[in-house]
Amino acid sequence: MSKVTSSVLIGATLYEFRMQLRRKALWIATGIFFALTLFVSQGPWQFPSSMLVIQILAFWTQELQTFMPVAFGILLADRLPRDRLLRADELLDSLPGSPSERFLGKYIGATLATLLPLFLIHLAGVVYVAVDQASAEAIPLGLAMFAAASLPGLLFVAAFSISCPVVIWVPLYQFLFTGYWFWGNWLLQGPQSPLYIPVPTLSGTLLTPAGYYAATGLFGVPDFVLRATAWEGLSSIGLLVAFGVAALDAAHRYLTWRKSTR
Amino acid sequence: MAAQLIRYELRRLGWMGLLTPALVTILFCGLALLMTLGGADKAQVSRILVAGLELGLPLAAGVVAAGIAAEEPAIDLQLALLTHYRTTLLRRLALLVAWISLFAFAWSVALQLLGLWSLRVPEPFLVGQLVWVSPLLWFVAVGAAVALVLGGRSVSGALLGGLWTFEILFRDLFLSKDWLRPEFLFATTYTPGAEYWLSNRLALISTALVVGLAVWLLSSRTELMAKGGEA
Repeated sequence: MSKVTSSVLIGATLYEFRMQLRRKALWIATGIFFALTLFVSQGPWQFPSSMLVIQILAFWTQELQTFMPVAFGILLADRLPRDRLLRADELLDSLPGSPSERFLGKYIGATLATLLPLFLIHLAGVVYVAVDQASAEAIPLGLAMFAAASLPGLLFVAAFSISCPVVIWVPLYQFLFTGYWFWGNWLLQGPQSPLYIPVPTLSGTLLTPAGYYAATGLFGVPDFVLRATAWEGLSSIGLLVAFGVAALDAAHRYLTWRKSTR
Repeated sequence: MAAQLIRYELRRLGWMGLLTPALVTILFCGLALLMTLGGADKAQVSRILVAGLELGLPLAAGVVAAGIAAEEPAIDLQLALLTHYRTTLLRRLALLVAWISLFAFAWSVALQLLGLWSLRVPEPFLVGQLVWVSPLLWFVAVGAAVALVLGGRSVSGALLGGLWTFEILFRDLFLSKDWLRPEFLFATTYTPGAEYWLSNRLALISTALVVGLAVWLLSSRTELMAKGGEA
């Protein structure tokens, strides 16, 4: 990696990180979504004492992954179109360094900043569980659970939310992403349910970003959403990361092509 | 003059904005087609297509409305015009509602002609239009209000998407609490023919009118919007 390349990547990452972190929208949306999550779900202090530490951690991770990623994805969706809206893209194109580094820097910086409030909320719950259950191992377990069950899905969401608005109008993407989150994660109900409709869906497949394959497969959480093997957990993580990388690659190729035809 | 204004506002909405309801229609029709190929019966196909009217079009309208309210590049100029900005904003929102309503009404007529409407909506056809009218007005009013209060398209889109997902995922909570039930947006999709259906629809319209009044008042304070957009 040349000096210019690395400095552009680092500069774009740090700038995007700071810019996203200072947006009031990030904190307002995350705060409201978290309040709604607590309103309808259990906080770590409300789980029955009979539950195992790993079960509490898995359910806590799952609760945060239920619909908070909707805010996560939507808050990232306007990052790339913003450059075009402010007419900064042409100026940036005239500077040293290729669009690839700026694009990657935007993805890493904005994603890390948007992840931070989610991670802090997750960590607060994990620390509470560790103290309440007098279990020091809850902290590494909780961090591993975040890395395996939450992070791949969030990175997948971030990759599509940064990439898709390259070609899709932002409000349309916001609508499509919201619909996708329900359709691709929570639509599945058994045929015995009176609400069952045989809609084709990604929900319940390895490509479900809610992360329950990894939680069950890698951590062996008993009585969880579903049963999965370690191989299925790893496959789910691999698929989510691979599709995310593919989305970023496609967007990058499109941006390079657009620049060359300008 | 009015026709010129309407043409201008439609151009301002852009072809993506104009095509959004068509894309929603195509999306739900595609799902219905896949379901049909997968062996779904008529009642199930009817459910997804009516759900598209109640869940799909109103959310799309709300997100677009938030964008309209949050973004006015010439807001400083609006301050100097004889026509108040609140009039301009309400005209834009009304035009959006009218445009989406055209699609929604055509959609419901098509379902009626195909014999799918009455399978899901037991009310008379015209009263049954409240399936989409109520959530449409609610989403447009709330989307515009949130955008004016918080001043950003992203945060408004996120909150609308969150409320939409929240009401669907935790519908049992909304249906079991008397004080939440009037604000349940998807009564046709999840509890068709319920005795509270009409009162729920009217309550949603009432909420939309109250929030619409807030939009009117908020958009009167143009100078507050002239401070620049969010990073």
